Amino acid sequence: MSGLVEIRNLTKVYEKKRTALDGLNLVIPRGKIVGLLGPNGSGKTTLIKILNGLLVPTGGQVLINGLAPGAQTKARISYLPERTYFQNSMRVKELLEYFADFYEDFRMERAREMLLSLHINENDRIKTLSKGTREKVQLILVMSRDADLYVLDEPIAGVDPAARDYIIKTIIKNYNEKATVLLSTHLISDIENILDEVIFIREGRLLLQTTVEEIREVKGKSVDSYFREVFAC
Amino acid sequence: MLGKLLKHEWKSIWKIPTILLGALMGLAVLAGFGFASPVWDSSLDGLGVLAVLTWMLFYLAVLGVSLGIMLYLAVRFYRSMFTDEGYLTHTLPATSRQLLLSKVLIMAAWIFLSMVGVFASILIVGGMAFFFLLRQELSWNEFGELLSYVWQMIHSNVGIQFTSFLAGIFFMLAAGIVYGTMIIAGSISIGQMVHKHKVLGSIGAYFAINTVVQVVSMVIVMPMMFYNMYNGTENVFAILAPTYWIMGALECALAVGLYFLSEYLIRKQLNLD
Amino acid sequence: MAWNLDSDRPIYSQILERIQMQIAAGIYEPGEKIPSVRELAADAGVNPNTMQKALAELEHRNLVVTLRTSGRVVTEDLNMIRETKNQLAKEQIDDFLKRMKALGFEREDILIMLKKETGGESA
Repeated sequence: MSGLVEIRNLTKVYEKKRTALDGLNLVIPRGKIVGLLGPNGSGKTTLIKILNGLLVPTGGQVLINGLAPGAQTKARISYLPERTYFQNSMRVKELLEYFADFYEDFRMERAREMLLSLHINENDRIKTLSKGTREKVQLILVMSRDADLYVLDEPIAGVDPAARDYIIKTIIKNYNEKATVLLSTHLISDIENILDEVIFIREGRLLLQTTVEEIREVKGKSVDSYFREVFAC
Repeated sequence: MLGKLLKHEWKSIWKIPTILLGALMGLAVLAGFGFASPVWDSSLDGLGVLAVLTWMLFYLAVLGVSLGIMLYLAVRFYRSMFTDEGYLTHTLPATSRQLLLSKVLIMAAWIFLSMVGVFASILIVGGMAFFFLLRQELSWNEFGELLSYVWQMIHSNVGIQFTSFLAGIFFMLAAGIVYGTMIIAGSISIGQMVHKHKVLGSIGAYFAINTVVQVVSMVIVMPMMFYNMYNGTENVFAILAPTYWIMGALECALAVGLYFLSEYLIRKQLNLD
Repeated sequence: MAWNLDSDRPIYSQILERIQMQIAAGIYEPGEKIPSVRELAADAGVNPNTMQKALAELEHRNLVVTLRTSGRVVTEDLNMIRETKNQLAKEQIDDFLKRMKALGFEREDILIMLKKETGGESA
């Protein structure tokens, strides 16, 4: 069985000749929680945008379930960007209907349950919620879909430790074995326990792809320490 | 999918323009009642000025509401396509064409509705003014006679050309709607290519495109009108014909061009911050 | 909330040890139902695949049994549990003795110190 995401020789050059991705070759397997790790400017964000069809590559190929990024792949990918992407005047209830309307794989009851457990009132407008609550709502909507690929960009950054625990638990609980979760983050030590594999990216190229357990067994250190070693300035 | 996009686009946009148009109607009724006051019965000299002032204020209100609606539509388009909201918009399971089309169609619908609203409000004020000022002078019958007299005047003077004139007017209005929509969508899409200054880029593109249209009207349409006049065409509608047919056609062509340009920019050159 | 796991050792071995210890110590009683993989993983803050592997290993060691109706339960085999408990104890003792010998203590000294340290405490 082929990987869920197959990336061949992917290149992205912005104007002013800035190369963000330089012939990246990568296969992301199914059914795993994968960490996308790399310093700022390594090409993580560019890769994520290309996977989500938000950016067009300069060269190379990306296939998700055998398809190039487009309307069909977007139906199977659930994306949590770093920023809040709602219209602030909307109510939580309207957002739920929006997602249910556009995404066939959206599970309304699951979302409602999670919102309830956080005591979030569906009638509230997004703009009246605190930043942390807004982020949780966004996470809940994204994780309530039964997608093939979840792309989470910095899901726990800028959030208090208790909320981080909640977010990590939500990811674990809603994770479906046939799906892949691609997690991009700087907060490695908080998240490495839930990762199956890690991908190290540097200067737009794949540096390393291995499992967390192997790093711990073979290198005898946490992924966080190993990362610091590999990317030492 | 397009249907769903249209539905949600309508839902997210309808409130503000409706409020603005509603307010305009309200203002129109108020202005209309202004003409009912006994003030007009006296023979004060300043009355003419008062009438002009009332109309001017009303005109400002019309301008304000029309511009306000256009601005609101532009801002909503920009926000939903090219700011943080764009992360949601562009990851929906829809093609760029469907996204753009849905927004453009709803924008055009509201530009049309805003024209209708403005026209209706003018009718309201005009109608009420007419009614209050002339009810002393005319009875209903006489008023009806006046209207049919005006209608006959127009008809006899123009004949077939009046219908073609009307057709021309409608064509121009339709072209105006299409062009109005695409100049908003187009300049904003072009503007987003200018990386550090998206808003400035959009405004720049807007003025650039408008200037092109003005220049063409100077260079092509004016001479044609003068030509018609000098050639002895007495019919005022025939003289004006070039304006609405040529300008209308030009605006339509421009609108189509802008549409395909926008679609290309969105599909291939999207780069959200 | 998450279990306190060392970050430089493989997660799999740590969670395996911990659940095994909980069974040996009776925190999970014989025959008691064990939470689902997902719940345990969420509680521990670890990858569900890793948790699944650990539980599979416990099953392989017969400490945990999957019943058709009730899912995963702790074994009712008290001998098995006692053996495991003893095994874990032996590992602790071996470890302790090694470290004491590294400090230079001999068998007699160790026994005397043990008696002193545990004197007065109920067995």
